[in-house]
Amino acid sequence: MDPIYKIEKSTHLGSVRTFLKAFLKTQEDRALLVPLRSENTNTVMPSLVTDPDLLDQADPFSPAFPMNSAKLVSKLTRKSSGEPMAAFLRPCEVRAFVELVKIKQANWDNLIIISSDCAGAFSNRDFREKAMDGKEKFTRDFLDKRLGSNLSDTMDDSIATACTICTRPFPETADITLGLFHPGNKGITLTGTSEKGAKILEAMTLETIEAGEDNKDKSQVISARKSHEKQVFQKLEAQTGTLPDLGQYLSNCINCYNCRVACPVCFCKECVFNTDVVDYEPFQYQGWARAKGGLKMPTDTMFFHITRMIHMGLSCVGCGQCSNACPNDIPLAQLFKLVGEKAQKGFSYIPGKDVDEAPPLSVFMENEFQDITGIS
Amino acid sequence: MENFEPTIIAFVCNWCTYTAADLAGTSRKKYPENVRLIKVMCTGMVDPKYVLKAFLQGADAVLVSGCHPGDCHYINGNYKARRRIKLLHSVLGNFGINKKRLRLTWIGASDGIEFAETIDAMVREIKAEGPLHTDLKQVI
Ligand code: SF4
Ligand code: SF4
Ligand code: FES
Repeated sequence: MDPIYKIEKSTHLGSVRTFLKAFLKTQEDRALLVPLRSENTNTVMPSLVTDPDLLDQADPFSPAFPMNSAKLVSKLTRKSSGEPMAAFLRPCEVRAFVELVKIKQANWDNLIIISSDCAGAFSNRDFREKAMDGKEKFTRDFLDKRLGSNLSDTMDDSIATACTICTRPFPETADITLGLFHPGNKGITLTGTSEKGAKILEAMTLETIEAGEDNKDKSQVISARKSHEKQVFQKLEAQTGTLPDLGQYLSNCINCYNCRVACPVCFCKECVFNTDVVDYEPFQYQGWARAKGGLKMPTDTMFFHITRMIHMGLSCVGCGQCSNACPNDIPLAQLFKLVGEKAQKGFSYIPGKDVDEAPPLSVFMENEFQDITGIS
Repeated sequence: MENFEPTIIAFVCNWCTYTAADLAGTSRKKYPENVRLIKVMCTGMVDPKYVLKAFLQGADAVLVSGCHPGDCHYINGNYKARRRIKLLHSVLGNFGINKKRLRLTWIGASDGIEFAETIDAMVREIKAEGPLHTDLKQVI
């Protein structure tokens, strides 16, 4: 059994900062990517930190989730720099990172991933509105409230829909796993969940606690989320069951492709929707308009969204960043998650779980899926 | 619905199903005119986007047809196609495009009769299913 360490300060933020500082001090040559509170503005942005003193501004529990940092870790690790790194990621960011490692757009060799139980986040818009100038008190209150209600979804300030239907809010794959469900009030627990993670913690001389002391029931959180997800999905299925219905659902889309840019697992280096495949000749539009009497512009909205589902649906980690990025508030995350999860089930594939599990479209077998050929 | 004539787009492999369609023709085996053949070099090159675009542009059904397992000219193109069709069945199924509207068959070069029968069967099935309303201008 791996030892469980704990750090207990007067606030969760204090505990995690204490840990991160000690971590960076023992890991001198590592740079740490961590959500950092800006001094002058009320923003929390992922930042690459080398000076432990800066970690007094680290705020990994803030409900700010401006982007899925898997994309940043991909930028930082896609080629070996020889420099060791660490990253503090939400569980959905780790899942996206794992998907990127599989397709060689990121690399885990020289990297330590620290991930924590996740209390959820607000949409960017809600965060700006609600947090105002609440600074880190906002984080503290948020976390107390979320932990107090057992991460339930019925809090007054509604977190992003993606987070309310997230059924994997606890880290599954990380080097160091940080727990918030422990008996103390404002402490954190730390477990080395990989060989390299365990070694680092061992060298840090931290206080240990007995296993099995979680004061909250994780399976309860998950089952509550699952039943909420089911409700959301049922409503969504009724809303999008035909192509015209889907058109209605997406009707405010202006083809800006922000959702695609924000999606951590939209992996193509060059999106086909940026190529001349959809760069039609002016006369073509006129022809289409004439053929039907009218043509919705911009064209190919549904073509774009369904193509995206086909490309990345199997890897959708449900992080909600597509919804977050949409200027027209189209609730994309639940739709992509619904469609994605169904497809994942068909291939018995769980994105972000295991770096050694091949993406379904990258492999095939001779004797499989024979039921899909032929005409009944 | 009596007079509904479905439009079926068929992506057929040059090395087998296309030859089978040719054979059906040269042996004067009639098959419905509802199908528009698009010759491809292998089912493995049928990008899911081709299938999707066909539906969005007004096809009522799509057929992808290639060489039997083990017979693909490019060794495994048809196995890759099979996974892609499986994915398409799942994704398109969410939006009312059921599996009857997207078929994958293996039809060898000498199976002219089977080709004609396949098209017959598909047309019958899709007539019963009715049109897929995709060319509403609002939804494209
Ligand atoms: S589709 Fe949306 S929810 Fe899914 S991984 Fe991409 S951004 Fe996250
Ligand atoms: S971000 Fe919103 S408006 Fe932009 S392409 Fe995506 S769905 Fe359409
Ligand atoms: S060559 Fe016919 S399916 Fe590949």
